[in-house]
Amino acid sequence: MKSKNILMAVALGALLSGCFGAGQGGQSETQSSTTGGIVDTKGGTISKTIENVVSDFEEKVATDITVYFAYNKYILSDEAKVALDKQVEFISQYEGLVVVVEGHADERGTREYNFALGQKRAEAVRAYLESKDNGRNKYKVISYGKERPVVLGSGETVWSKNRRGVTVIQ
Amino acid sequence: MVKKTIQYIVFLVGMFMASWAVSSPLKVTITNGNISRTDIAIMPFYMPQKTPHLDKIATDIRDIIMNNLENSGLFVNVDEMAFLQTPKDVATKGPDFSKWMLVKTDALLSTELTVENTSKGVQYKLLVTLWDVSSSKALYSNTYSMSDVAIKRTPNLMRRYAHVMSDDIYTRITGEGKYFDSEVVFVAEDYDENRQKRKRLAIMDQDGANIRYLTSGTDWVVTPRFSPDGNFIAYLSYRKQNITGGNNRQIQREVAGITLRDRYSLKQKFIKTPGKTFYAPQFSPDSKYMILSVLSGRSSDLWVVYNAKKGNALDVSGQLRAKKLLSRPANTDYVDTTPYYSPDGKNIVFVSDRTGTAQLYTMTANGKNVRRISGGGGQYTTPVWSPRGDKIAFTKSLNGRFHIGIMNTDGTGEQLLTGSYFSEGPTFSPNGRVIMFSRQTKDTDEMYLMSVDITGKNERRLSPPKNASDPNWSKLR
Repeated sequence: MKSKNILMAVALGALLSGCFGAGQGGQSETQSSTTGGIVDTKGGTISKTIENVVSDFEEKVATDITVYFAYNKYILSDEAKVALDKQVEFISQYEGLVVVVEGHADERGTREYNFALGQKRAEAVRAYLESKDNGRNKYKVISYGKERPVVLGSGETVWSKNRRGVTVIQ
Repeated sequence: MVKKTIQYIVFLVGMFMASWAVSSPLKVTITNGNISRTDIAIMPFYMPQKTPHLDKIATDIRDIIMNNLENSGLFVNVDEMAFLQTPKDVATKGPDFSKWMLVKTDALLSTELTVENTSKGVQYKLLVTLWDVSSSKALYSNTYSMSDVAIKRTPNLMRRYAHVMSDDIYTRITGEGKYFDSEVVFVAEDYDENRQKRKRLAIMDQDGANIRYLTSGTDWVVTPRFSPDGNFIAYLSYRKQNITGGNNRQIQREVAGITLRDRYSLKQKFIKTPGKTFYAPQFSPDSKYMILSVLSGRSSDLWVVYNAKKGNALDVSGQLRAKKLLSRPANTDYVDTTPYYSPDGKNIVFVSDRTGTAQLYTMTANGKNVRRISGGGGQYTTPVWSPRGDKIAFTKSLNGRFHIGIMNTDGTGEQLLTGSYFSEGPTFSPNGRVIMFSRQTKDTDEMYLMSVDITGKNERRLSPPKNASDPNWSKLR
């Protein structure tokens, strides 16, 4: 962990909430996503391409792009919130990103019910991220139910890895 | 059920020559949960003029009939090695019943295949007589007429003749409704050339043969359901759409929604509304409505979708409207899902976890009189209503085990038919007697299809298909 970056992120976060407040971003000095700008919080267009943002996200947030859930539950644990805070730190540096939250379930349930459960997990993550992001970025949700396990096999060690919400920047 | 006539062939089922036995001793009885099975001898077809081509037709049809009857769990095929009469003798001189009693045969099907040149071309005549051995009586005689032109033009049409013939035997002896002449739509699971798992929409005859794939695997397919006339299939699919992402990038994003597909023309319509995901579709018995689950935010509700202009059958060209069936109190996020109509269209069974665990509820089709019907511990999901109207089948999970069960429509008489590491998604045969479902073996990623009799007996695996899931059984064709 690079403590310098964290301090930077926290400082930027504070600046952001002062400047923009609530509501849709993309007014005044900032460019909205429709005119093609991913902006940083200083209000200028960044030189990074979105592909760089995506790979930066995966590198810096790393395993924290995934949060885990208890069996049949969609409530965010304290651990999950810590990971999500790291996600917010990164995402809120930018504006105009499209963030997709995937919701997944383990195999120990029927197909349609797990589809709904995946949705609720994705929504729980989305609501948390959105609440801290102040409308800077756009969020989408998709449930994969039990269709996309990351680990195959049986037993709680396996199943617990599949009950997850994954954040992806597109 | 009124069986639809085949559009392109005249189907002669005439000539009932023999009288019906007044009280058939060949009823299948169930005592103490044990089914007494009928020992049946299906004669190889006697052919006065035999050719290799005729022989193939005769062998294929006989094999299908024998498999159907034995797979039902209510018949045992007497081994051909034990036959004490030749096909020619039985067909031309009639059965010598003492010889059949010796080898413990209850029922005997005498068969003959002849060829007729008619003004409509070559016709194959399959003449059968079903005999009750112990009373020495003929139960019925039928002649099935198969057009050579038609069976050449439509692959696997011949299988349908075998299924119809099987149904006539089955229904006469057991007193149950017919079910062999039907299809199952399901998800075929395999791996593509890049070793990526894929799920394709597929249809087969109920005996696992004649598998046809309706999609290529580009879209991920789950939970397909036939429309009542068998012409449309609705299913949940994941498909990649080209979307403008952040910074005006063109990207591919996967979206989930219901596809409505014409199974013959393969034309399709994808049903997706921003902010809402539709899943778990089912058609009303009169085809006026499609009922489905709608995910919006954290809640899952039941909606009916209907064709605004036509009012009747859903088709892929029409405008669709939707309305919510049940109101939801504010700030709740319980799940209502997997709705299923009763065969008379008057009621709906569905799943709700509004009390904290997934349970079964019924209501009238207009969304009134909601009643919980499941009790007991565990979670109840994927309910389906029997075509006979009398039972509801479901998946139940309890203490880490998964069961296929049935209950009366008021929730009484719950019976678990199977138990295993994982099973799900029952579907009823057209006569309400057999249930097909998916099973997964522990530590594998692969599912396959199973069937079980409503008594819990005769649990067996279908093979082909090798790996499959989410079966949905059609009506009798």
